[in-house]
Amino acid sequence: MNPFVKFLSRRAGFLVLTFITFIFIIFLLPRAIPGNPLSTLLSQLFQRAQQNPELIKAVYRQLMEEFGIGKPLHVQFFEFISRTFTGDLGTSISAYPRKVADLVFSYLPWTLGLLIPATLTSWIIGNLLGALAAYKRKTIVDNALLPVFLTLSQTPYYWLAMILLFIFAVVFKVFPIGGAYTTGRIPALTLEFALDFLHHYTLPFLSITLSAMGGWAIGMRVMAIYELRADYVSYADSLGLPDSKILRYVFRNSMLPQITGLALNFGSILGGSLITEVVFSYPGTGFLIFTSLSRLDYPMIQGTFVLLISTLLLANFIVDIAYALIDPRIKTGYTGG
Amino acid sequence: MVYKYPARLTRSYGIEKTVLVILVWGLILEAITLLYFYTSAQTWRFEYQYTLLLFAMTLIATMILIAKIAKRIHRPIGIDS
Amino acid sequence: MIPPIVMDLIKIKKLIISLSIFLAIVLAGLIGPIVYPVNPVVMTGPIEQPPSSKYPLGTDRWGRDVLAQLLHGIRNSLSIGLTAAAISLAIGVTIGVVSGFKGGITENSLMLLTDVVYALPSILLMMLIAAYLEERNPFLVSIVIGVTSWPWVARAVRSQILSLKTREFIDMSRMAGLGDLRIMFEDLLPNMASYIFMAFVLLMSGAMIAEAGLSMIGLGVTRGISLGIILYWAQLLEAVRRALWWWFIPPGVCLVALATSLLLLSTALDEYFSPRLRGE
Repeated sequence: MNPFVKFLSRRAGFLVLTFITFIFIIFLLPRAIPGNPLSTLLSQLFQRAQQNPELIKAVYRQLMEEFGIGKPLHVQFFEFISRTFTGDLGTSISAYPRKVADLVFSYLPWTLGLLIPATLTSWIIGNLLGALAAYKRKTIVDNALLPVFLTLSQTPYYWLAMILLFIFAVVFKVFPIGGAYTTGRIPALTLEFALDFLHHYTLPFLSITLSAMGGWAIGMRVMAIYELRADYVSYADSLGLPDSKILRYVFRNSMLPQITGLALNFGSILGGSLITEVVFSYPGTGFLIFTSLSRLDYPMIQGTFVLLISTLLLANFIVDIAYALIDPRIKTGYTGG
Repeated sequence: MVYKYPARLTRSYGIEKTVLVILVWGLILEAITLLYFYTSAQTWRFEYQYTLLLFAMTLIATMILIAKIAKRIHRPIGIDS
Repeated sequence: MIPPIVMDLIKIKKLIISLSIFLAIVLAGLIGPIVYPVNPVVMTGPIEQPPSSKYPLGTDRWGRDVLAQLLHGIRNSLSIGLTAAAISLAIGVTIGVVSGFKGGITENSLMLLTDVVYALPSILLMMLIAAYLEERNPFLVSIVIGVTSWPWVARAVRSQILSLKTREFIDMSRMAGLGDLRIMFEDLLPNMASYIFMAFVLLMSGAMIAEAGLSMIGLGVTRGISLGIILYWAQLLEAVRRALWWWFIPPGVCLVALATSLLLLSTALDEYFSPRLRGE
């Protein structure tokens, strides 16, 4: 069998497995945790029933229906899966009767608009600075930059956000306090709105970019140092000293790649940006998650996470395939390891 | 069915993989968002136009990154050479 | 007598600096609350006071002493970080050692498990699990963090084991007829002690940051104080907008200092144990 097809089916199998595991967890959580959060939510609703009995009853019915409470477990599971695949992520409780999907997709673009450009910028600049620090290893440049980057990489995105907000929006009132645009304005594709938008966009963007930059910088620095030394070693010791092999061995067993990998993993970047939104009251997915958590809007929480994580799994799969297409080694069946 | 752990491959890709995953992830989400707004007839929304813009940007960035990676792989100076 | 390793380590400047920063903060967390016996949750004083002689770090919006909150918070953040790191370490090392050593189906299935958990973003997973927990005590939070942060440890440990496995002394133990478990404990683990220790340091750093992140979004410990929770309340009660800098800056500084010093510590140790990387 063509090794590429083998690789493809392996990765696809992994995708399916991870996805099922995840769905399983999502499905089990509200039902298996002692204390049964669903019932707590329902009783909470009952307490609120005084205010608006009709509304509460409707919400209650919807909840029962969607979570399939009372039906046998496998029926619940099946309904859950089929519903997810048809795009129905449920109905929100706190914003009843708006659907989860509707809310999520209204908030999502704002997050993506922040996250993607920020990641790109921090990556580009971080790489440049990291390489710079690597080339000037023993000099003041490196000695000054390295601790800065290390600290930055460990600074929580949201705390940096608070600092920036404090300095630039409270002390020096250069930037607005929060939000994505001035309240009351209607978002539209006009220059005027664009300027207002950018005005509100700057600080959140900076928080994410600066924090992430630390990580990319040390990562690049490590890589660049390694390459530099490898070059030096193979140039200076062309007599075939086993130095480069030892170097490779040592490098692989050291913590450095680990450290950078940790600072840069997708989870922390995403998590950091989401929480940053909260600090700025920026109307993105993070903000949505935050408010639905405080209101115990389980359908919303569930729907959002399902969307975010399943697409992430899919993205991983696609990237693996993409690498396979580009890298001739995989095509010929090289699995290494 | 044996699960072969693709260790070496993941290592030699360096850290660009994370960026690429974020970009592709963004692409997927943007595509789904666009699809949603389109099928629910809400294309008048600002979010729709915004996402359209983002999609274009992300797509371009992704293509550039992939080109860069392809160049690098075919000219190896990394750990595995 | 002081073992020679300690004498060597002391010579490394980086190590001393990072270790002292870290220990200073730990000390503050441990004995701080005793030396400064103010209750962090009681609303003792006037609200929103900047630092003064009576309230060294001022008060927050409810009139609670910020310094007291900070000291207690350091203590709790550290303990949660410690526990979570221990849990992750236990899981990761076990899986790594067993899979690396045994090989075959065991290795493959364990690594599959590891990869699956690794594919799911830890922060999100933590948030998800914590969201459904009603009462979150510190131990529970540690478990949530610990159970989602171990995959990289397992992978790293496994590769270490794989390289150790081919060494001679293992073959000798085998020829002497020692059972698997004994080999694992007596031959492999001691050689990996340094690595395991560094992994623990990193885990702890990550765990503290994770705890702060969870707290910021409202999913931290339900009753109690930690660095993250101080920031949570500061954010909720608009400390930034009201320019109450003494409230939100110190906890963040402590958190960053803790995490960074731990990181520096692990890089210093790393350079010590892998001398070729010291940068010639």
